[in-house]
Amino acid sequence: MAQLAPGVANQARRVIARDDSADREDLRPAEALASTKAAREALVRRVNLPWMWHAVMAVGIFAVECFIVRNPVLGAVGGPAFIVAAVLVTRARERRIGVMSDITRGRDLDAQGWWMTGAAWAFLVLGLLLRERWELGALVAVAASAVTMFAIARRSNSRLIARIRDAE
Amino acid sequence: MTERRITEPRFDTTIHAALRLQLCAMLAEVDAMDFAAAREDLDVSDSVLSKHVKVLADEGYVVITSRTSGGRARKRLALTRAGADAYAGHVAELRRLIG
Repeated sequence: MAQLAPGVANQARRVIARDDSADREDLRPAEALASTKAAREALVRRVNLPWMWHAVMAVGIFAVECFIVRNPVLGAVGGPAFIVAAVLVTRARERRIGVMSDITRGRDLDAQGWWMTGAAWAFLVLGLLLRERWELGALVAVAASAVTMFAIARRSNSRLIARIRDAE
Repeated sequence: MTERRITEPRFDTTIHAALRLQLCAMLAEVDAMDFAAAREDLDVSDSVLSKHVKVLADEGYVVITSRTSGGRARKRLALTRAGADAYAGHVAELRRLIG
């Protein structure tokens, strides 16, 4: 009879053991609560995004905002198109990790998050106002907007993780 | 902003099985989760998870939606409002029992 590779055999044994324990209904309260905590930790590992992901998004935002500042007419089309693209990329990422979190509903965006979002938009508007008079200033304002967006995304992800960990 | 409702402690035998409790714990914190992702995180076989999901779905605690992605059918699980309430009540009861 063909033998399984040690890794595969170990995995099979682990799954069988988990399958057997899945039906247990005699969990003590402390055991039950500990098991929910373990499940939530597994979820945290899944939704915890690397900072590189948000950095790439921020660079994309910076590029689009530079484009908007240089050419506001085309930017009026490009800006909304980028927002749609960003939502689609976020959804694609959620599909890849297999978890739909409700970031778009704002559950993990508190008052400070909304305030920061307003600041990001304000920096973009500042960039537009400065574009004719001070090009470097406009570039700095746009960079500040992209950095703020990066901070919002990191903060939102941290809050999601904290919410999952702190859940009862 | 996180919404927390005041929940009356209530032991729920449907939820208390080890795997169903863990599944509810995960689904309570997200909008929805792919079946495959849940199976991977809970480290169980398809058949076992399907059996437990069906129990929760029959009770009206979980809703299952199917969609096709890349030519493959994928099931997605989400906790219903009744499921979220039952889970919250069950956890509250477990905490009450611990004291």
